[in-house]
Amino acid sequence: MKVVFEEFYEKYHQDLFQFVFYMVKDKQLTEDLVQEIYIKVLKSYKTFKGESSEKTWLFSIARHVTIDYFRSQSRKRKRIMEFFDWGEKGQLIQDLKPLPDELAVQNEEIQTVYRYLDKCTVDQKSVLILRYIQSFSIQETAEILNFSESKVKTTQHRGLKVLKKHLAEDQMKGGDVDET
Amino acid sequence: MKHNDDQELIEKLKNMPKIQDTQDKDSLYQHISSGLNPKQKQPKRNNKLVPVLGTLMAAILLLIMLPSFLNTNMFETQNENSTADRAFDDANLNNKAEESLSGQEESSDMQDAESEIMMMSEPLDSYVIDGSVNNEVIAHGAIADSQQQFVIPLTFVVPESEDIDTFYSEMEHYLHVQEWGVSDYLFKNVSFKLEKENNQVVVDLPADFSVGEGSATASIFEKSLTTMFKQEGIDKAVFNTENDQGLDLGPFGLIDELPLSKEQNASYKIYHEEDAVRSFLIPIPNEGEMMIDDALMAMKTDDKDFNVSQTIPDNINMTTDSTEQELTVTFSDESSLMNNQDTLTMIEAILMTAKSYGYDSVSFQNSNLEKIGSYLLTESIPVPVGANPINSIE
Repeated sequence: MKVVFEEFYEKYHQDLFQFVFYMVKDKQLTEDLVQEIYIKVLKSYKTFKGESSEKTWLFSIARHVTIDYFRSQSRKRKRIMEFFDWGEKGQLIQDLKPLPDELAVQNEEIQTVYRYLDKCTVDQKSVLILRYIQSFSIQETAEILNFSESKVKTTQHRGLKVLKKHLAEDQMKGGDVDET
Repeated sequence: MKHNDDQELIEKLKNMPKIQDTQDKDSLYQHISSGLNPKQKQPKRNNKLVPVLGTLMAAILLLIMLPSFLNTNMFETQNENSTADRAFDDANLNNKAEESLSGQEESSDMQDAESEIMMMSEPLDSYVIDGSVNNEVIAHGAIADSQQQFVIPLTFVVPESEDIDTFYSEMEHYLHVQEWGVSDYLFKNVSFKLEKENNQVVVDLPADFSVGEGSATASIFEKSLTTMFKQEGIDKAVFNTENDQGLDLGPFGLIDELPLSKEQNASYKIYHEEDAVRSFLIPIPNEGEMMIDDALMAMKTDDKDFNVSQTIPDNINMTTDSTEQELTVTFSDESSLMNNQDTLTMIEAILMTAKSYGYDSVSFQNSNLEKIGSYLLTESIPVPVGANPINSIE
């Protein structure tokens, strides 16, 4: 079992960690989710048939674990919002997470893009992260997300559009976002 | 412009900083491998505990809250009553109050009457088997008081089906020495055979039979045999012992037979051990040439040390006159007899005392009562066949 783990770790660990981090934007949470991903990988490694590459198999598991997490979060948030009736204000909460050290040293533009990633849907965000931050090919991304390649392209396009729209609005307001 | 924006945005995304995991690989693997197995079990264990803990908590809560619930209920019913009362108008209320008041009086009257009836109908305890049962077979028993000072005579009506010898031999089954507050029966496992033609009783003693040390028990032994058999015309007891070595009767020495002397004249009083379920009429032997007048006088005195109490109340005074067979007791004018247990006990104690002095009957004069218990005080009363009847039917 440890051999399998070490193999995956050596080859993909930092990529995996980075992907999950950009999805959830929380290092502690990323550590927990990565552990969960490894556990799932090691449990189901026997049933891995090699129909896809190890890499896309690993990242598809990572994506499922992350989406499961988002679902549980949205259920929780829904309950809380129903309870307190926060309505629209609830949307602000997710932006208040502190920036990790790596991003805090970056310029404002990068930080702004980082923040507006959350305005995308999970699928759009996944595509943008895999394609540009992780530099995966369209084919790899399609395999991971179980999308067709054309769906990857359109999702990628729509994701960029959402980001641009918010960045443009942000410039109109004169960079309020930085103060949040 | 759009295209440039896209390129610019993509560049920015591509310039997003690399995020490195600072975790140690080995500790990560430890977390994972520990998560591989026990993580499944731990939640299950907790799940099992949940219903148990829940039930416990519910039970504890219920226990804590139950008293307050009960209190609340009480208050509620009280309140309901008061509102219900308010629904009556005043007149109704008054009527009701009067009704309930008179109702209470009635019921208390009823209770008084009932208790009177109870007192009337409650049979008084008799301490003797009266002389009217002459045709039945009577057996006499004897036990000693708890301090082995006196012999307590007992009287049995022997069931027709029973052989008299067997009845005497098995008498201990009818005795409840613990409840009665008396000494152990002396003749446990002893067989008696009455030989009336020889005026003797043959006593078979078990191998381990012992009267015990001291003259008191020896004296009680002799008096018990006298109480049991003298009235039957028996003059001596003959002992059958193992190897015919005789009975070691303390101051009497080793004996084969024991003559039964005449029963002493006695004043009958009440013996009642503390905590005992019943009391007994017992003969207190009178020494010397004490006359019947003095014997009756002696019945007014207690002997608390031996749980013996008087049978003639202090306020009852009497004089005696006698023929050979009949004793005449005349109550003084100021003596007032109540129809109660004390009076009945007194009458029976006088009858027994008269019997021990050899009289056949007693006539009571100047009594304000005509009847007490089953005795007609207007007529001459034959002396009883024995004291302290014991139920031998059960």
